[in-house]
Amino acid sequence: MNLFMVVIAVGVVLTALKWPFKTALFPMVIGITVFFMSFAELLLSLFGREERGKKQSAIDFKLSEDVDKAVALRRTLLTFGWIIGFFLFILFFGFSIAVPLFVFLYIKLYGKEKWVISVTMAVMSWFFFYGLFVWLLDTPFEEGLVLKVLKAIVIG
Amino acid sequence: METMKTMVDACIGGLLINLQLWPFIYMLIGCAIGFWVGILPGIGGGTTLALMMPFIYKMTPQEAFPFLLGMHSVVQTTGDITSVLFGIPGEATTVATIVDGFPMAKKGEAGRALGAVLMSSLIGALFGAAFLAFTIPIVRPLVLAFGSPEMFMLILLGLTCISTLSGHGKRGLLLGLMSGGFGFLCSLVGQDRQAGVLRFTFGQLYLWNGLSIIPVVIGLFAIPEIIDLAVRGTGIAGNVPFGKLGKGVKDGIKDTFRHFWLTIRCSLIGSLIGILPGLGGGVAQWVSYAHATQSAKTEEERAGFGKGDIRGVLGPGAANNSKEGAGLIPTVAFGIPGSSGMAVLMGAFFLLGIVPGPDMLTKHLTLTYSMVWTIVLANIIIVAVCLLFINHLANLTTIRGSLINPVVLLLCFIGAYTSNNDIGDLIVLMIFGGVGYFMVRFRWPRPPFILGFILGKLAETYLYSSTTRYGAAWLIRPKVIILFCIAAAFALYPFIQKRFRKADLGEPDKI
Amino acid sequence: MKRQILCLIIAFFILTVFVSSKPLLAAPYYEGKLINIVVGYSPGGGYDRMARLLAKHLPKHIPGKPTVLVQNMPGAGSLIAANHIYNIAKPDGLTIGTFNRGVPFAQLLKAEGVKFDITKYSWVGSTAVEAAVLALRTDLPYKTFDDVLKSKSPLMIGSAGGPSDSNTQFIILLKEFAGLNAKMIDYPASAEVMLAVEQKEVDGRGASYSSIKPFIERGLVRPLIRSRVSEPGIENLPVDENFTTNIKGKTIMAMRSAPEKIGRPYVAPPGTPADIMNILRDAFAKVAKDPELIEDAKKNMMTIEYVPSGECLKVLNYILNQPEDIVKEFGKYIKF
Repeated sequence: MNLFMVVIAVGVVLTALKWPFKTALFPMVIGITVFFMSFAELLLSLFGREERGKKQSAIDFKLSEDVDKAVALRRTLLTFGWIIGFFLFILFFGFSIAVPLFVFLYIKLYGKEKWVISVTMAVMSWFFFYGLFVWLLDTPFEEGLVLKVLKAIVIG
Repeated sequence: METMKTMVDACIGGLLINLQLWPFIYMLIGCAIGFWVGILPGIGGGTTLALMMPFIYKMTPQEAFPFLLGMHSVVQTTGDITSVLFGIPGEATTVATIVDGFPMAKKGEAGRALGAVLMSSLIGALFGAAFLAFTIPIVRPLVLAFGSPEMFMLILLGLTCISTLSGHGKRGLLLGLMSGGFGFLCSLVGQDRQAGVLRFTFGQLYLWNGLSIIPVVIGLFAIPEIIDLAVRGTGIAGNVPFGKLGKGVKDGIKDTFRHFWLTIRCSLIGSLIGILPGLGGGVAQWVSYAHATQSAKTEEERAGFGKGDIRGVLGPGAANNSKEGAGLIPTVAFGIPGSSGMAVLMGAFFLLGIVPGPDMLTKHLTLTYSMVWTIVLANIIIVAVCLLFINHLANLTTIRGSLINPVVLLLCFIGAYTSNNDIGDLIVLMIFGGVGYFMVRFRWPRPPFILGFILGKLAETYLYSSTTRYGAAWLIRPKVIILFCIAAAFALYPFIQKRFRKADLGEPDKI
Repeated sequence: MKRQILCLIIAFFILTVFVSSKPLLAAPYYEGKLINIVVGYSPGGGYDRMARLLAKHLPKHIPGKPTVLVQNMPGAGSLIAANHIYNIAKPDGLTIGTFNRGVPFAQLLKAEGVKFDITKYSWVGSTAVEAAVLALRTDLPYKTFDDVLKSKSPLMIGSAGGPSDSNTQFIILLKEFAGLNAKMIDYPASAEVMLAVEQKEVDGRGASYSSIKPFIERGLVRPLIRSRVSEPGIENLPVDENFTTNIKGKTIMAMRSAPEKIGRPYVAPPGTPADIMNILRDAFAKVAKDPELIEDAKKNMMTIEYVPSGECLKVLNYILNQPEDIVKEFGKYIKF
């Protein structure tokens, strides 16, 4: 994480060098400060005393520690996967189809719930999504690449 | 004496307007709409106000304002509910409530958190309304007192809260500052105001105006929670059995009164910040949160924040409502909108043939007071309604993770998308979801990031405007110096507290 | 003989009925359809409010009375919307768009992200003229622009939106060519600039006449100078071009001002059939004279004036056909 910050800070400063003074001022000042801080943090975490770390806790939530590490890792990766999967569904099929599809697949496959529940949730979520966002608020939603390609083939 | 009488007359007149049939009904409708707008993440008060405009064409001012304001002032209250129950910010201004509210829900204390958040929201709203009502006579000089340098100092004050929110110890502070710095850098994405140069946009049109706050905030806060939920495999509230959560509500309400002065102080903070156009929402909640953490007397207590301290819920809950009443002040008194929602409200003013400005404080004083009463009545009604349903709301946290996760994820995605109606919103959501996850993993505090993100660009703009306008002279303006001292005090508070603690502990032998 | 005449008469009747019933049978194109107005800005702003006003009143002026809806597509100074209308929307008359009047400059200056040729849109026209003025506080001693030029200390002028904002550019050109001695102070948004004016932190600002009218009427500021494009109410103000003798400067000022004539541009995708465009242009021209719309517009502090597509294209060609050296000079002060 620290390494990541160092890299970003360096990137920021280097990009900012090309800009006129006023534009570059803040990126450079903050960038340089962050660079030094993250470098210091990097050194500290590599060479610093371990014990200190326990006491310094951030005001923020901790990831649950009561689940077995291996299980936790697997579940984390799976969930990330589902999130990215949802995004890809939306990209390819558009919101209208992706929403019930995702809800259904997640509940059925990952949650291993019964058919009835899975289908009901999927249908309800579609109604909610469609009713509120499309019918009531007229939010524009893209069509999804697959549909676009299909339409192009049909028309063209 | 004359002004007092006019004020009282207008005050009563305002109440009477709201109690007439049609204005009251419209207010209720507005409340109902606002209830849902607040609860749904991403859908903001501002956008909805704009969408409601066509409906007010046919109304009279006495009907239109209760409708619009009923909707807008309620959004902050119900937005807190989503933050507490699901860890998703219902609004960009209810993020701070997540930090302590959601951990409470996870501990099975959702009822208590909701009770506290609703009550503090009500008190905040009432405070804000009272603030608006009583400052009307002195409002003009008050707002005029804050020029660019003062704004910059206030922003600096907001930024010093980063240190308070960083967690303790030097290491914690370092991480907090880095987090804040990272947030600051992210706020600089987009077209620069000084020379029109595109900064960090990687050739993407989507990034021209910078990163939108909603996808960032939802990604940063909600996604890691979702992952954690999946990891734990349980409902949000762990393994607490269904049905028992409602009892906590009374506790939550009592807590609000137990910490009454804190709630009032945070309401005051909300109102003071809310008066100033541009700063409002994002900042008020964090400054009051930081203040709430300062009320912790020992280091152990402070460590409790972020894990479910009720005071961390009370502070932001009150502040994000009290800023609403105050936010009306510049809009009404000067015709200068305090936020995008207010800008739309101003459009409504014009539509109805009223010109916001000094007239509102003289000719249309009754109407102004009716707005005050709308805020009061709307919030009382909504809080009462919520308290009725709170059992059911709280029990949502016991639903299995496998059922609730996709719904929550769905809300996140849609909420983020409505920001710009662009697929880029979803990409930002996911990227910051990843960033948020790693931040939590490596114990980097997230609140400082948000502060840096909200305030970064504003700080830059005001620094430049102050310097261009006044040269270096702005540094010695009296208000600037006062604000600087307050900011310094804020920043150093944790260390000062520690020293006094040590001194206290060392005292016992000297009797 | 009689039979033949009978057949002829019957045939004649059938023919007449057939020919005359054709218009009766053919339904208007827009019947039962939905028109989307794509707006390059978020809800609440000037462009959005104009679109919503039109959406409300257009249907009765289009045969078939279609529903008209507004779709917001903000981003990149409305370039995203502009690109969408040009490349993605179908030329079937069911999508029209409105974007930032400064978009021609994006094309002229070859800004990143421009994926259209602004002259190739099917232009409907513009529904307003948005002239820029410089307005200064009434409590200051400057009553005319000449007074301002004589001032010894620099004027503090507020701006919002940076160098890509048309009103800011107006001031920049006054500084560069007309000898205005001013420092420009940048604020996050228009609201903050007006507050600064109230606070007397700045002396005035450049703004579009329509947005600053309420403040002029309240007596807070007075307009001192305008540029080439004018609106009712400010015709008698001096024009910026008259304060410079630099020929390039005059042209650049005229160029900057030109898009103000297309204050609220409305376009349809390139290649939209001519008869559909005629319906749309007709509708826009009629709606601009609709008394109900004018009433609503007044309440919204908007003035409606229909500028036909021919005029719009004239302006665009004027801007885009400027010689290289002028464009280069232009690019020094004007950014998108």
